[in-house]
Amino acid sequence: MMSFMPWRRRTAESNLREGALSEWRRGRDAIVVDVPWGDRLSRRLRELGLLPGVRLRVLRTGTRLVIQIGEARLALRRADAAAIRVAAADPVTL
Amino acid sequence: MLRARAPSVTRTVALIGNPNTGKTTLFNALTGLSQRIGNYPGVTVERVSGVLDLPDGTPVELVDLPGTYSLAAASPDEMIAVDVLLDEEEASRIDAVIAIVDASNLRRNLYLVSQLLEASRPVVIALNMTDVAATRGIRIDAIRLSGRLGIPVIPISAQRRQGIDDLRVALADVLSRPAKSPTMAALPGDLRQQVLRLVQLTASTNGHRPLTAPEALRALVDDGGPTEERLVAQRGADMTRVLADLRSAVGVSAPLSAMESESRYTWIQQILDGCVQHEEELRVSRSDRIDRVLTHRVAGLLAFVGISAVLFQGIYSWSTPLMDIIQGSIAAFGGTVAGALPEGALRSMIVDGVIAGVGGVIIFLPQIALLFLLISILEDCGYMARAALLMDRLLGGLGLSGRSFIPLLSSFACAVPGVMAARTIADRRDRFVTILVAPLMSCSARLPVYVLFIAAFIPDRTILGGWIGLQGLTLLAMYSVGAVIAVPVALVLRYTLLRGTSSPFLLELPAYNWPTPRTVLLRVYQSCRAFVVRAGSVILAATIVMWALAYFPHSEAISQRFADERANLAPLPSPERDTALRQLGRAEAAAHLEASLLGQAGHFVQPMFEPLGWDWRIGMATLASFPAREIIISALGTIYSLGGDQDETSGDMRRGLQNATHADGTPVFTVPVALSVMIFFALCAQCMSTLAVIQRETGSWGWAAFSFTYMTVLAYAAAFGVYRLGVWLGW
Repeated sequence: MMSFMPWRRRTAESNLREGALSEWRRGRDAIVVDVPWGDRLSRRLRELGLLPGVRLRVLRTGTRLVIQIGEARLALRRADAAAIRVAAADPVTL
Repeated sequence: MLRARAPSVTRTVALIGNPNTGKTTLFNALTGLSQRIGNYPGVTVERVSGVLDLPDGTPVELVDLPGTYSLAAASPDEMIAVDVLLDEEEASRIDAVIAIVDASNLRRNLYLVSQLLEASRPVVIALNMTDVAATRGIRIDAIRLSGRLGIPVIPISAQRRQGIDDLRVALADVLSRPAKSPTMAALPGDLRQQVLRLVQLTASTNGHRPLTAPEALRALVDDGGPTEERLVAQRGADMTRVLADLRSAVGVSAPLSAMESESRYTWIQQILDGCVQHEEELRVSRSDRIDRVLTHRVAGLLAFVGISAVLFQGIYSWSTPLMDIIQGSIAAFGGTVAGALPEGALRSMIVDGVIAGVGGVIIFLPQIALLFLLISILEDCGYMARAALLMDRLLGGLGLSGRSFIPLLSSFACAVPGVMAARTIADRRDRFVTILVAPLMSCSARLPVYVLFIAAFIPDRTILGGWIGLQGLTLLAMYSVGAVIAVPVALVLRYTLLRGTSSPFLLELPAYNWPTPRTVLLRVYQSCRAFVVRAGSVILAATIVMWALAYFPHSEAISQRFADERANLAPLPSPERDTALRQLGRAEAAAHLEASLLGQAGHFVQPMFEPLGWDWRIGMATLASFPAREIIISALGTIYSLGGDQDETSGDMRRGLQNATHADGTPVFTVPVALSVMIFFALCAQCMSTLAVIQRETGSWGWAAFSFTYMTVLAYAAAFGVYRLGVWLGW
């Protein structure tokens, strides 16, 4: 899929091993490291299974993110995703 | 509290599940057309129920609860579904629960199930879409799962109507056996202990029933949540301290909510271990490939604009032929009835009051049916969530979410279906703000007013070097003024009357699938029915009241005077006489209208409209158009003796308005007056149907009155400003 704004992707997102979900590159699998608690959104995310150790993938980047956990696809705001820490997941070996 | 139940009274079963699990499809498959829509007591959330037949033919009431991921409600609105299950008084009405579970999302769906197992009602799991799950490489051993959970697990396909009979059998089975005792196996022992302690503590408070275990759990875990609030309100501020003590007794540093979710997912992992085979790798689905286009920053927006255009076109123009047919039939029917009845108050009431009133209700049905047909298709196939995602950025700045877009867009065609479409917004504050600003969007009923006044009073010339026509520019300005003003209105509402944090933006994007015709058509039917039944009676009543105000006292003296003048015309030759008779007829209608209660009111309120540059006739026509804006055209037609059957494109009408003069011979309508009338009608709430629908959707006449008041004040202020500005600029 060709990106219409390729410059944005390269600069904003890093190839670090660990970082905020909001900065994660599209298509790169990650493992959840930390989800904050206290606010309503993170409570709901935890109830939906976004817990430390869970594997996820970023399907859409921008001001509204789409992430995949299991068979579910969830959309959330970039600012909210900034509080969630993720780390690089090694590809699953089958 | 246990209520005695006569054997003839049917038992009640609740249907609960995550959003997008096919719950509505299963509900329709189980109940068919026997559905009833009511309201939960005291709130505006719809309570949809239907009759389900057990295999032996016993009827059972099935209640469709709103889709939810968890029983931990964050707002009083979310409490409703939960109350039905948790609150013992409510729960005494529920004999069993059917939990629909999406097979391809089993882990997450079992979270809700683990909470349901803690309530004292038998649960049956309807394991939906096992066929779809199988294509995604997920295989579930339903028998083993059932053994682990200790409750029946029935594989079904709601869409293909498979396994529905097995589900009925399993339901009859759990209903016939004594309920199993609830289990809190998914919770850690420390938390369980404090829950039981709270149940015991509340058992000893006088005058109140003890809490159920799930209620006690919610009160403990949801610090400051609705269950705690209610508990404190009922049993005093002591409860706050009691809860705090119990919370610290659990002995963890993290919030209990974090402990709860982690513990439940650990339990789910144990339950699923060995019951489910699935691939570890996150799979790229067909939906993901579609979404690469449809949620793309550029391509997705273009697709969205295209889909919105089709939707808008649909309600705006496809419904026109149907509406014309309805309008024609109503007029023809009115004519036939008028011919069959003797002249007088009764005929006028039936033709101009009742028939016109019924017509005013059913004229909206084509738009409502078309809009809901398109919305239901988009919703059912999964696109609506994508639309909300794309529009969230635009509307997020107004304190709204992407869900508000379709209701607002629809309101440009007609606010009635627009306000009804706001039902899809789950958050109460977002929904209310959307409903309150929706009538500001320039609906199709305003167009005739613009067309008439622009053609009559705005010079047909171009400005800016011939690129833009002045008339077109005026039309554009009238169309956009409402939408522009809606921005500050929404912001003000969000920070005053509807203050508070909205529910956070978190949206599940369901997998795309073909819409189920049955689900779509049922929704169209329900929307039309809701409009006719709830709003229709109000609209009809208002039309009859307005008719009476415009008809009575219908003085004999006036009728007599015109009868005499008609007699004087008798000797004239035929063509001249006909013309004269027609003019007399119009003059008589105008004279009656001026003398009517409405005409008197027009004179009475004239000082109020004078600052806008209006004469009493415009004021009266505005009052007359309270049920619907477009009435102003026929009302002006009647009062200026042009005949009530005028429409906005009629040349007579245009010339009549251009030639209308005050008593001193100066023209009534100048450019500033015309602009002031147009902007008033762009912003006012002159539409009984919209107000009736607002009342229905908000559950209160207060909000309808508020809409009318704020819009009328805005309209008046804007009309005054435009008039003064126009006069000052010497237009």
